[in-house]
Amino acid sequence: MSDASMIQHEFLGIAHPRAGQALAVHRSRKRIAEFRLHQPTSLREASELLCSLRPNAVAMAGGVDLVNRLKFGRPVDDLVHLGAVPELFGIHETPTMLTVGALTTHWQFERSEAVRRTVPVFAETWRQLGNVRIRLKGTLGGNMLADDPKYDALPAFLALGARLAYADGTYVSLSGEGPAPHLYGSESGALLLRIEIPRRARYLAADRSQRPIVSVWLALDLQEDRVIAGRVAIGCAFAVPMVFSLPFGSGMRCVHLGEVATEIALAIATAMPEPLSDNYASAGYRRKIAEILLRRQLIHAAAGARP
Amino acid sequence: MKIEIAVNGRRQRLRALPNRTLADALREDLLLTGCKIGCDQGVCGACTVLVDGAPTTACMTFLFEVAGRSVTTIEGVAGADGQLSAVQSAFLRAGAFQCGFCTPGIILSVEALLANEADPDDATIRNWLGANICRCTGYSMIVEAVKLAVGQRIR
Repeated sequence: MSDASMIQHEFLGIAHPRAGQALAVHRSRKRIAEFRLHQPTSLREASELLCSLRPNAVAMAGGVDLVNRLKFGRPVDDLVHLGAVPELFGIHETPTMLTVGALTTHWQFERSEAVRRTVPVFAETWRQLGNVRIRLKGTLGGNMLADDPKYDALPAFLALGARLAYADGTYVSLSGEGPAPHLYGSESGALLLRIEIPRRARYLAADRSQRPIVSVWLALDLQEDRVIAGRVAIGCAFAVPMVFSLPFGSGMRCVHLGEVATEIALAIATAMPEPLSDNYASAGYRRKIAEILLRRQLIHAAAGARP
Repeated sequence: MKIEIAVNGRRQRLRALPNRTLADALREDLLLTGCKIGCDQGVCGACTVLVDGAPTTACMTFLFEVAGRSVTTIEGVAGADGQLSAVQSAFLRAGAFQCGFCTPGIILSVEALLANEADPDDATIRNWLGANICRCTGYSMIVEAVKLAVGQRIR
């Protein structure tokens, strides 16, 4: 019996051939094709599996995006579930760095004391992501590798100039400028192991109020009461998040940021490549909103930036 | 594959393919139809169940992910003697539902919230309920019901 027929029977209240089961019972309407399941228990096993099974194998972290994609027909022969790979979990502090395991959930991230000490704004910002079920299940690694420009982890870590460590010993630096670098996913056979966030005196602000049109992540490196460097990452507005360095020259006192906010925001907005134009907003609107949000953030930073 | 889970306190042994979702297993195999399938893409929250106490979108969770874990559906919230939980009673008293389709998911979300925070403020309640969509009530009576439940538990 087809899905359509079953649903029709149910809505019409006609008994269908599955005798003994209540009419209210019906299955998910979006079917997921069959796949072979692999559940490795170590990083080595997971890596070997992904290498040997590619290209039609996929790694599953929290599964928030993946299950949706499978429901919409993404073909997968082999699914490698990473939930029992201990090396992918955990948040650790060193004197110079905060490392966050790729399978750290948003919930764990927002509640971590180590994260709160290193980047206090994450505790509040991450609480606004998605909803509680997504935060409990979704992972930072999955968020970044989902390749969705509206997602937040990548622009946040771009602004902070973080680095991604892969299980094969390679790294992807997020400290450059321009479009976010390509993050290779499990289809390459390499697993994202952890995110490394440098620890230094830093101010971070996020404005997600205009998602999915634009999100703006501002990071300022501070030395006493001076800003010595700044980066702004723009999410939602381009096919991949973009990051720009802010022109502070040899440094500027934080209290003077408000005086140059308009000039800097306009310069960044002008330097941007053409933003996306879609059913959410035109390219011109996105550019203008990015300029406004950055200007506001710089003005707020003049009052709030503290090492 | 064979999967063993505890559902509403009872151990269940199920045979399923890896692509079986928790929602389908609950509804079809165990006939626990309080787990509703609304959007079928993890947004509406109608299929919310608790897995080891955490609110979980059953339509987007594979059955194999919950192997060995404890699942609570709306059918398992009331006591064995049929006594409604404080949250269920508060929903009745506040009239916090109309068609009722979203109610099981919302009640389970609120049960998880109150297990996590005994006395949540308005912002926390609304943030938490952002995971559940109700097209009928406009949410104010749902928020009211949560506050009633909080009051009853604190007393």
